[in-house]
Amino acid sequence: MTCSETEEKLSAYADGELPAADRSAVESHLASCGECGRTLQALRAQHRELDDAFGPLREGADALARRVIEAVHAARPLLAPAKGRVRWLPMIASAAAGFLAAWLVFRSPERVPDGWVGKGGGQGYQTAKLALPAARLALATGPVEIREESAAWETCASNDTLTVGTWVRTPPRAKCSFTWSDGSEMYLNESTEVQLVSTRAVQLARGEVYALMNRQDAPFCVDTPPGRIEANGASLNLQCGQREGKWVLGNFAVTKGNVQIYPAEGERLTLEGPDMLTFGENRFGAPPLTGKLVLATRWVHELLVLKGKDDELERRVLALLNEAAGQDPYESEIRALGEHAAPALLAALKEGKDAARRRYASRILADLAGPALVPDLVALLRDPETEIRQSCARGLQRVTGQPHRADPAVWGAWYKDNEAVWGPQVDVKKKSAASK
Amino acid sequence: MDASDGDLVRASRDGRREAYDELIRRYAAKIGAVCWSKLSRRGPVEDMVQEAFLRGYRALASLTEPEKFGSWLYGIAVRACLDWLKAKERSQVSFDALGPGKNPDDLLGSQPHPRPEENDRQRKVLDEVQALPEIYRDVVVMFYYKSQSYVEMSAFLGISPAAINARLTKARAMLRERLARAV
Repeated sequence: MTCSETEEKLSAYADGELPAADRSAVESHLASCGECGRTLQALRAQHRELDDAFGPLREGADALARRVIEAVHAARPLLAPAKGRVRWLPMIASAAAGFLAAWLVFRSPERVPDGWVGKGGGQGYQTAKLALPAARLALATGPVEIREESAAWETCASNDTLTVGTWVRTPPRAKCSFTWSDGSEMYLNESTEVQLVSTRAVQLARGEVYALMNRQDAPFCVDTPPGRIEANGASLNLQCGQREGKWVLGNFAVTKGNVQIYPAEGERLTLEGPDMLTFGENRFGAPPLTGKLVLATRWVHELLVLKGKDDELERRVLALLNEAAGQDPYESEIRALGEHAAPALLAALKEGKDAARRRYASRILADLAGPALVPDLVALLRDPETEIRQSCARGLQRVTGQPHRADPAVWGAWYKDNEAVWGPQVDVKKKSAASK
Repeated sequence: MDASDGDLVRASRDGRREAYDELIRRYAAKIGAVCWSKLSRRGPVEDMVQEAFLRGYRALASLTEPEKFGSWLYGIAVRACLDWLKAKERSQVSFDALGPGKNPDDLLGSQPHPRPEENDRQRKVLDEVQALPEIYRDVVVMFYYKSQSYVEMSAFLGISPAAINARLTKARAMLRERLARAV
């Protein structure tokens, strides 16, 4: 065995990890090579030094295990792993037998009903050991308050990082949204109170939340007094509070993915999105119109608009558009979003295949488009559909104040002369001055 | 004979809490080593060990090969650490809050890892371990934080014993050179 072959094996030899055959070859080389012998001595000295440096950590390992066991025990009520198979029949049967009295689910008004009483801050999870950042306040339409353990409520600043264990509440007429450390998002309606129980769990004490959960190793959990909801990579809306002395869930809508429900009493249920539980229908299965889901969760639109350009908002407008076909309340909801609905309408016009739906999108767009869409509207004047050309011209007249009819050549010439004002990435103030 | 990891995972799924406790005892030090390696000594190592076991517990139902609990949990711990690092990156602290003598980590809600008693030389050794490239740092930390054989480390890290040997050899050579320069 040469010196370089020996050197490759010396580290494993010093660790006692070399197979017998290699070991004797190394030993016979060492017997005749002083240089390799010195390398071995240096390795052994280094081994002792590293071993000493890591000694305190190694000795703390048993205590670490004990503390982790305590922490897992403390969190266990929330963390019980899923057991058994999903059972559909008992669920439907028990619904018929009045099971839903405990799981009363009803159509929601946009606001959390007055007079709902949550269990409030008194019964939180003990999470004191984990000072992990759980979420960050992203948006709010009014003051949001937070409370850590037994401290007093205080106002939360935007972008504040909240650690595991923190309570958060919104007053009447203020909503907010959080970005979780894993990228999941959660929107809180007004008069809502939650506790961030872990980096993937929240307790909803009262009010309403809409959660867009990222897919991770473990499911995201929303715990409520009537039961626990778990989902991975799903989006769901949920209200919780007391009505007539009973804990109830309301406005339970799954817009994406599957959700597991563990009632405080009774069997585990599954709700496959898109779906919602609606009081009076007592049914699962046949998915409702997705536009209906959007309407059920329309309270988040205010926050999505604040957020600015957002895929979720665009998806919602498209869902409303798909089912609206000129009917309320879907069309009203699109119009209520104003200019914020315009990018989705433009996408439907440009990429849509269904002629009737494109015409419909163009009619609304004519009323909602803002100055930023002038180049797109001019380009759409060459659309093969007459009605779309007319709608675009109407939109252009409204935005620019020009009287031209739906003639692409005339508008094209006008745009060429005025591109500096109306072209892409031009100061909006200049545009509005020009239209006056 | 000790129950296998697979037996313990199955028992945990059946609701036997002492089974998961045993898995924690088996793997706490290994997961500690992973978190120490990923977060550096100033990171909240113990909190992330807890987080990894909590996530693991809640995801037990999705573990398709219960015998591979160790390497599965290793992946969870690595992701938990990355999540924490990302969250820390995203957290913004105003300059006003950073007065003299303040540590940014304290403002971000992370608890500095309790430092065991170390002398200067030991601190220097640990600093140099921390400065190693990740693949070398991982094996050194695994080997010394929780004394274990190459075969055990190989099952946990998902690389061959020969690769463990090669990385440890290289890591030790790098450390020797760096520490010799430091003297």
